[in-house]
Amino acid sequence: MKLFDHIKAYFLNIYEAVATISMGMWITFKTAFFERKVTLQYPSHDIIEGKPKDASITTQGNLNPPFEALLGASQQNYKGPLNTQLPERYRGLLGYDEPSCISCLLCALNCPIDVIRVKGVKIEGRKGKAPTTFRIDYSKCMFCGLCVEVCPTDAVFFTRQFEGATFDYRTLIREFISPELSLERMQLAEEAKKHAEKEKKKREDKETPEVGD
Amino acid sequence: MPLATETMVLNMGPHHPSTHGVLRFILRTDGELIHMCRPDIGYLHRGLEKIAEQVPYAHFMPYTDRLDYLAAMNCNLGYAITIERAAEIEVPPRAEYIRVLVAELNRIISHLISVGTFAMDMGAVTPFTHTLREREWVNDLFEELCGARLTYNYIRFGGVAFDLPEGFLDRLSRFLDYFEPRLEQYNRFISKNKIFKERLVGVAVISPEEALDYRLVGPNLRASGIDWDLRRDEPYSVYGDLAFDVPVGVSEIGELGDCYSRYWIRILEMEQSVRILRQCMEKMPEGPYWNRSKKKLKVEPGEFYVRTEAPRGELGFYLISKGGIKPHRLKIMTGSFSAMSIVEKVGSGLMVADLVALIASLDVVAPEVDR
Repeated sequence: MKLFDHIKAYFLNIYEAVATISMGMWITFKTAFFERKVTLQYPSHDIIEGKPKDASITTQGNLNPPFEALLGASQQNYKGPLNTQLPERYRGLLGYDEPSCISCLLCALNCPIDVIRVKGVKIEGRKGKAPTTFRIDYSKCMFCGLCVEVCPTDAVFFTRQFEGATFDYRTLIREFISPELSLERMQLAEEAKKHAEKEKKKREDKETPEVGD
Repeated sequence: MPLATETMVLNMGPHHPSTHGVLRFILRTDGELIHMCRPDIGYLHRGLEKIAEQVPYAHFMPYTDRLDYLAAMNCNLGYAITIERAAEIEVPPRAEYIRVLVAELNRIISHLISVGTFAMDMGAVTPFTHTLREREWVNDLFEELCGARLTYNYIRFGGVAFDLPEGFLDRLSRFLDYFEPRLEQYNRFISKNKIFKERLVGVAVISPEEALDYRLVGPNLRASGIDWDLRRDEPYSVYGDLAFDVPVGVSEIGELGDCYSRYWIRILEMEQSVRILRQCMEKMPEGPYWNRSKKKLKVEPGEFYVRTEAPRGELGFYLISKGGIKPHRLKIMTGSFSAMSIVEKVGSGLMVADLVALIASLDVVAPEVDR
């Protein structure tokens, strides 16, 4: 009787191993051949056809193509569960809108790692201060979004660009205001300052009567 | 006459596929048998606690993402609750439900990674691709919610950064409908696999007393049969209003506290997380999502300790404030760190291949060990 139990356990063990392994194999087989593919050969292949796409958007040529170009026209045909569109709140590389910036320094103050550097001067005909320096160091940025959250005029915002790889990290430090514009603004501010000082002096001169000796 | 044998010192890591990051183990081996196993940590030390002392409270939130990058939402939540208790900030009910929702969603994907890499360390590569497939879907949901896929920086003091986008709950329920059968499929696929079971049952058993002595937390503690879950026993946020079970390890399959029960607990926890998510979706109230204050955040002098249940167990923030906008000291307690301490005890006497199973079953994440 005991021997029979041993034999039974032996064969049960073999049966169980074979049954559970073939069950797992069946799931692998089913997934590999009958289920929809969810992976995508980024960025070189078309999602549906699985063939290389236009060479201009791969390594050579345009280094920062728009995201839509990467996915190609056939993205509408993709029926998998994953998003092929970037969502509205996507946090890509930081963008900067110069005309609306008031140089309030909130973005620079709220950055935990001093990615943003802003300097501004007061010039005529512009709300707030006009920026003379606006530098973003993309190599440090950790895309936390604290600067975008506090910006009162939406001058700092997230773009949908996410391909920032370069061969030289110095290219990741980006000046958004050209040196010429910066110089021009500085001169304008200097002139305005001088002008204001003159005006002030004139007014003071008028107000205080001159004392003769 | 027996041959004289010497023990050999073997370095496992720091760059080893099964150490889940940069971890090093110094092994003294006799053939395949481990005589001594000492973890050498610190390769991923970034000084997060020191950084916390140098930046204002709100600026440390993105750093908590990097604490445990597989469960960034839970780390965000723990830190936010700490500062809210210290500064007495009210949180609107909708924000509380959103927080629990994202935290449980993150628990699911963290456990998915754990289960997938566990199977991969044991030599089964396919389950990893399956679990990552599900994780991508959740990553897409998170990306829609806050714009990032891994380091979310979503939770703020007094609420969350963004409201749920339109149709988010529908898409989430579609995911859950898809995910529940998949979970059952994992069981057929890998959990009930005879080879997988034979490989893990009875390996590296941690008794309940040992687990308590070495301060194991979270799933590792519960797998040893200790019924302790902060979500139920010290409810924070709205966990008190939600009904869920706390899975505790039983010696149904194999021994209590072995590698298999630590694996199995995580599968069961994912089921419970799905349950919590469904309740959150049902109960989601309307209203504001962020009680945002215009004033600069200052914390009164004092000491505060808040612990929350992250996927890798208890995550504690111990804050000492001396007033002002920066903490005087912020100490972070993590589950992976305490899990590392027991490796030396349990690891000696195992085979080298079983040590891989032990490390994988403890589900350590190297940045959380070192901080």
